[in-house]
Amino acid sequence: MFGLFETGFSSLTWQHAVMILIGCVLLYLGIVKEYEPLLLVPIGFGVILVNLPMGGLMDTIIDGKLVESYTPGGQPVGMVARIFEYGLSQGEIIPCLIFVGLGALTDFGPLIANPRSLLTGAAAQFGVYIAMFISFALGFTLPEAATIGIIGGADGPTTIYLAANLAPHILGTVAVTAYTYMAMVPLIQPPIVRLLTTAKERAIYMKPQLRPVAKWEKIIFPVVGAMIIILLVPKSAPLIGCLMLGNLLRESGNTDRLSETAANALMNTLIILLGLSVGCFMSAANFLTWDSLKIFVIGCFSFASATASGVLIVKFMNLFLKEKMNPLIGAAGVSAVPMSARVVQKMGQQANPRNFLLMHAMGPNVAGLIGTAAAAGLFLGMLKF
Amino acid sequence: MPENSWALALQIGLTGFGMVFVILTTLYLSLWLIGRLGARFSIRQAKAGDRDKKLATQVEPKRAAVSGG
Repeated sequence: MFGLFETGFSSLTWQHAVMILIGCVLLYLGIVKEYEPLLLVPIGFGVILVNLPMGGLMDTIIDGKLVESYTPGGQPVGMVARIFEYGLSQGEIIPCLIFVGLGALTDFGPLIANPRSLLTGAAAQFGVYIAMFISFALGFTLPEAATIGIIGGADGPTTIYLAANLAPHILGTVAVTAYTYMAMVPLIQPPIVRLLTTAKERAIYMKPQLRPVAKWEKIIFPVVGAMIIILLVPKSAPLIGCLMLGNLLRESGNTDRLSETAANALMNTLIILLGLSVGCFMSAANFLTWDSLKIFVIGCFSFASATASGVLIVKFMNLFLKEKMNPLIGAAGVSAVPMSARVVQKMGQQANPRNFLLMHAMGPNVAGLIGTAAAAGLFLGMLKF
Repeated sequence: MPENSWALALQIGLTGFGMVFVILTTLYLSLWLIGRLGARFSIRQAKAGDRDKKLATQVEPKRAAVSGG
């Protein structure tokens, strides 16, 4: 006989209702506000699905007992729990393969044309380490603190990769925090940049044309770059290796089919799997904790300090440069590609309508991507035994 | 699991941030080197192109003369 007790209503609690509301907010941000819709829509829907009781999507067996939310160390039974376990938690396959797609989508030309932007990408990692110290001071363990700190790098797949390796129990929270703040880059960055720069500095003119980059330079960069970074930080091999492979497929000119698949079909498939499994990780039991609130606050601070340090290093470099750089491009040192570069372009045009800073900002932007992946490799090397 | 001490946290923070700079500066230097090599290579290619053009203009009349004779 089928009665009320066999329906989900019997097990629905206020915590589930709160989480469903959070899922709806994420859907609203993705669909109506168009903030990172490709990620926030599957994540938001995943949050709603997993918080409808008795659905069994994230069922895990621990010590012979069936638990409705994903728990590390258990045996995954639910459909999404299996994707999460083998794609993210144990295998870390999904973030690495997303890096192949990112590599296939990334043009390193602006970085090769203006290598100085690498220093901006390095300075923006300051936010990562500041957030790590704050998290540690607030009582998180070192692996947790490192995972929270990497949010400041503004790189979703790297954040997830590091969380899966160092602190899988907070993976859902840090992933959602990272993607939420990445979506809010146009709101977070402008006030910080205005605070740290004068109107005159923001109006500094930069020639729109970077030097032309030869095809062979673009082919050599992923090979040499991968060798240098992986030799210096071996643990960054999965991320950097995949990023550079994707880029080599793009630039070699003879592997268009592979490059197109990596940039489109593969990337889109992985984003669906990633978004759904991260969203489904956010059950009420996993998410409604004081630690989640702390991670959200520290994540915002981490973003802000990464932006500030990127801007400040450009101002510092300007002390020694004949041809001054616009300090706005330092804000693009957080890797949120290409969102932060677009913010820089918009602010640059507001300050000086002659300025076209987009290509200049893409250099620090992709340098930030490399810097965050290297920082994650360093954390792994020092904290994972 | 590593011990949770401030000494270790500071070591990780300072070494890590320093290493990020070392890595990206090494990349910067290698990109600078690639750029320099690129510039020299393209100058040499341009010179070789000019030499080929000169040779072609020198050779063509001779060939024409031979074929005409």
